[in-house]
Amino acid sequence: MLRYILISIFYITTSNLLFAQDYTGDRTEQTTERMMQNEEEGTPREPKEKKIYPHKRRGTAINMDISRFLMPAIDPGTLGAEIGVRTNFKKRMFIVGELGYENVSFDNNLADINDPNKGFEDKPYSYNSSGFYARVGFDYDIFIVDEPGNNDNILFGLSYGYAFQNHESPSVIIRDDYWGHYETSFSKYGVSTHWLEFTFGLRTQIVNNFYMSWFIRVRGKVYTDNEELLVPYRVPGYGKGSNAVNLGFSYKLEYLIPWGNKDKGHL
Amino acid sequence: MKFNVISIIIVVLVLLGVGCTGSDDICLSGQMSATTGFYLDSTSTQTTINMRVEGRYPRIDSSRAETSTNSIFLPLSMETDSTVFELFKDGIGETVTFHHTKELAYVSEECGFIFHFTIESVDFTNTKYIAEVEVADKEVSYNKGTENVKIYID
Repeated sequence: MLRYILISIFYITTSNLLFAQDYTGDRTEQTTERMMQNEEEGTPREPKEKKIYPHKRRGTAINMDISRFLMPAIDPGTLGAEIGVRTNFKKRMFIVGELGYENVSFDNNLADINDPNKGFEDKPYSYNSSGFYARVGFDYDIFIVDEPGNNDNILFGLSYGYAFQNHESPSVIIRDDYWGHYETSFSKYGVSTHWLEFTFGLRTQIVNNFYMSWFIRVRGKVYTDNEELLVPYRVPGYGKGSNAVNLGFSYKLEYLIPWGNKDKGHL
Repeated sequence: MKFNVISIIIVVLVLLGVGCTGSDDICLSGQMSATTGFYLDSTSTQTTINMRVEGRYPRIDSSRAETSTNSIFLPLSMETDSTVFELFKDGIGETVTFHHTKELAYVSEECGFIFHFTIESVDFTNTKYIAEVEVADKEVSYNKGTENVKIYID
C-alpha cells in the first residue's frame, strides 16, 4: 500500500509541475483570429503550416536517476544506483547510455512453518543477488515550441538493455504438511538478461545547464540464459525476473556540458 | 490543457500498470497431490464412498478421519520416487502405490518453489474392492486442477 501511495504522489507531483506550463501562448490566439477571419471572409482554410524544430541548447549531459534511492521503500531488500549520459546526435535526437548496479537480499522466515494453519511470514526462500546493467539507445524530441530559450523536451526513445548478475538461494523450503517439508538450495551462479526498452518522458531545464526529467519505461525481455535453475527475483535494471514485460520509471537530475551552440543564439 | 489531459492519462495508466505488476500472489496449497476420483466399475460413473486414507511410505500416517467423498487428494512424496497409501472403504483397506518422477519448478516471488510430478504408474492390491486403476493425467503440476487417477470400485 505504501508503495502505491509513494508512486502516486511522485507521479502526480512531477506531472503537474511539468505540464502546468502553457507553451502555446500567442500561437493559439493567432490561430483563432485567423480562423475567425477566414470564416468571415469565406476564404478557404490555409494549408497547415509546417513547424520548424527550434534551436535548443545542445551538449552532453551527465545524469543520475534519483528514483533508485526509493527502491528500499518500494521493494525492501533492494538497493541500486544509476548514472547516465545523454548527448546530442542530431538536431532533435539524443544518444543515451546508462550504467547501474542493483543488489537484492532477503531471508525466508520459518517461524510458523510447523503450524499448518499459518503461512510463511515472508517469502519461502532466501535470496541474494548482485549485478550490473547497461542500456544504450536513443531519444527523439517531439516538442516544438516557438519560445526562445525554451530547451525542454518531450522524448520518445528505444534502448537495448543488458544485465549480468550473480545470484543464489541458500535456503529453499517447499512446504508439505503431510510428508514433511523439503529443503534445498541453489549455489551462486551467473545469469545474463537482454531486453528492449521503450521510453516516454519529459525533460525540462530547471536553471542554467541543470535539467530534471522523468521517464516511463516499458521493458520487454528478449533473452535470459541459465534461468531454468533459478529465476532471478529481480534483474538489475529490468525489474521482476519472472515477467516478460515490466513497467518502470526513472526520475533524473542532469547537468549539461554545452557544445555546438555557437552562432545560433542559444540561451 | 492538452498536456494536462495527456499527463493525467499517463499517470493513471502507470498506476494501473504498477498495480498489476504488484507481488500480491495467492499461493495455492495441495498442489503436489494426485487428484484421485472414485468410479463404479460397472457403469464408469463417479460414485461417493466412505473413505479413510493412511500413509504407508515414506512414513506411516493414520491421522486422517473417514469422509464421504467421490474424490481425494493424495500428496506425493518429495523425498522418494514412490508413495504408498492404504485406502479404507467401509473399514476394508487396499494398498495403492504411486511411482513418480519430479522436477523442481518456480511458481512466483511470493510462493517460491514447488515440485511438478509425473506419475509413471500406479500399482494396487486388487484383492478386495478395487477393480482397476487408471492414470487419466500423469502430470501433477501447479494450478492444473485436472483429475490424475481414476479408481474403479467393484
